[in-house]
Amino acid sequence: MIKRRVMISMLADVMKEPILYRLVRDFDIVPNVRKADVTLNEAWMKMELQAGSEDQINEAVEYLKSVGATVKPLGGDVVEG
Amino acid sequence: MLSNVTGLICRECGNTVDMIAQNQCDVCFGPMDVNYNYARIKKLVTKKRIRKGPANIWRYKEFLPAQTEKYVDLAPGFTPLQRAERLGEELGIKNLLIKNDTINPTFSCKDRMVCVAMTCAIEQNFEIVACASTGNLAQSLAAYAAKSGLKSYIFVPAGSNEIRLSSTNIYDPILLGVKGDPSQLNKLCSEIMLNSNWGFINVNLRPYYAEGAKTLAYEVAEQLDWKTPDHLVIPMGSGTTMTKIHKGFQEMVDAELLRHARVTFNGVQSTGCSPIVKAFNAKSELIQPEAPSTIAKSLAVGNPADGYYALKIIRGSDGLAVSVTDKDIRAGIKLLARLEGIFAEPAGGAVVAALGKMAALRHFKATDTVVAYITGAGLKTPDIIKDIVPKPRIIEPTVDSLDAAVAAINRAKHVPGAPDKE
Repeated sequence: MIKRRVMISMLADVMKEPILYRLVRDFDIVPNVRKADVTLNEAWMKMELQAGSEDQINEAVEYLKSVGATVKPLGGDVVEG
Repeated sequence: MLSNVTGLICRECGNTVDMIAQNQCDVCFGPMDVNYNYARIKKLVTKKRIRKGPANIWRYKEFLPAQTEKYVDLAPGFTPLQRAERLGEELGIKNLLIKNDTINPTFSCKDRMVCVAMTCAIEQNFEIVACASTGNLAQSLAAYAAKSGLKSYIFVPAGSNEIRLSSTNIYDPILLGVKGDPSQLNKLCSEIMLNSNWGFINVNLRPYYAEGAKTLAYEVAEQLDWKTPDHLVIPMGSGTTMTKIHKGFQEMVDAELLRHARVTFNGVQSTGCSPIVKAFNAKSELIQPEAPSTIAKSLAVGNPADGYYALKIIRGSDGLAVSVTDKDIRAGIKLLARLEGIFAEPAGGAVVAALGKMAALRHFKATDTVVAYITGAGLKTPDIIKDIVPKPRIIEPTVDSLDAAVAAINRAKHVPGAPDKE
């Protein structure tokens, strides 16, 4: 299994989208949420995405971005000045 | 020696692990920090003992995670905290002090962090250390690896500035240019870490690396005769420096070396990469990543690891987060050099420009002591200023030619009191 740790964040209008359900049903992803915060205005989730291939995860990330969510690798940029 | 360190602890959920190379909590994915036995430190540390220590970061060894005293030591730190009267007068800040970190062994504050991380890497039996960096971190890692004898790999985006890379390559690391965009470089480094036993200095060794930045707080406190300044102005890339300076001041209070840690934290980014400032202005907790486009490469971190925590510290201390343009940064570099004799890299120019912005907003009271961190030297980035610094005038080898040139310069500059020669 391929695993990727990401932070997904979104504003209120995107929160109506059932993203976890879509990740499981449409992309065969196993989402494992470890921490999250949801308010009326914004939400974020720290999670691990598990799938059979790198491509599956990439497609799922593209889907999340297409609905307006922000996806970034956990731990920040590796490249520093 | 008996260690003051108890292991690593998750900043979010408090999960603890041994002293291993791990930057993320296995439970909640929060960042791991070094955990100390503060009761023991409090008994050990005194102002007198610190004063007797070496004139470098290891005078605060009780607060650092090294388990032995076999430091990989180029003696970084204990840099001057100097009064900046001329710059202060220009900007309208009465009590302005500059923490001049341009004079570290590889001319940036990264030496403090790499020195600690490299010492811990050896203690944890790493034989290879690595980082992905185009500038200060790369130079520092290469130098400390050279000193320690460890093999070092440095990854840079293919096509990076060759002049800057030469000041890394001189230390003889294995320097590799990686094709593709920065996200692909990030991914490559993550894959290497999964499949090797390399110590990535700012990734799996990050808990130790970050601790070195605390010395920026200890030194300022000691140099102010154990008093807390009113304001700090700190450049922000990953946000780690700010979070660790904050931790450093708090630890000084816990060890009863300072009475209080009530200091206002102000952060500075470049407009071309300002995810923390944008979240601050939007009153949001979410840091939206962005693709950097700025001359301030040392601040160009689009997805800052400690951005959320830096934001929290700024808000919690009633501080400001401001961004400045590349034009402001160049002007800041010139102003600092002209008025204080300090030649800074763009991050320093950004701090000076931000000081001006904050002063214009009347953010500082007349009685406030303001400490500005200048974290890297300008000689690292000569390409940034070459177009804004005048070339020398060429004169004939005669006194008449000299007089004519001086008169022309004085006319151009309107130098007050200068002799009016033609």
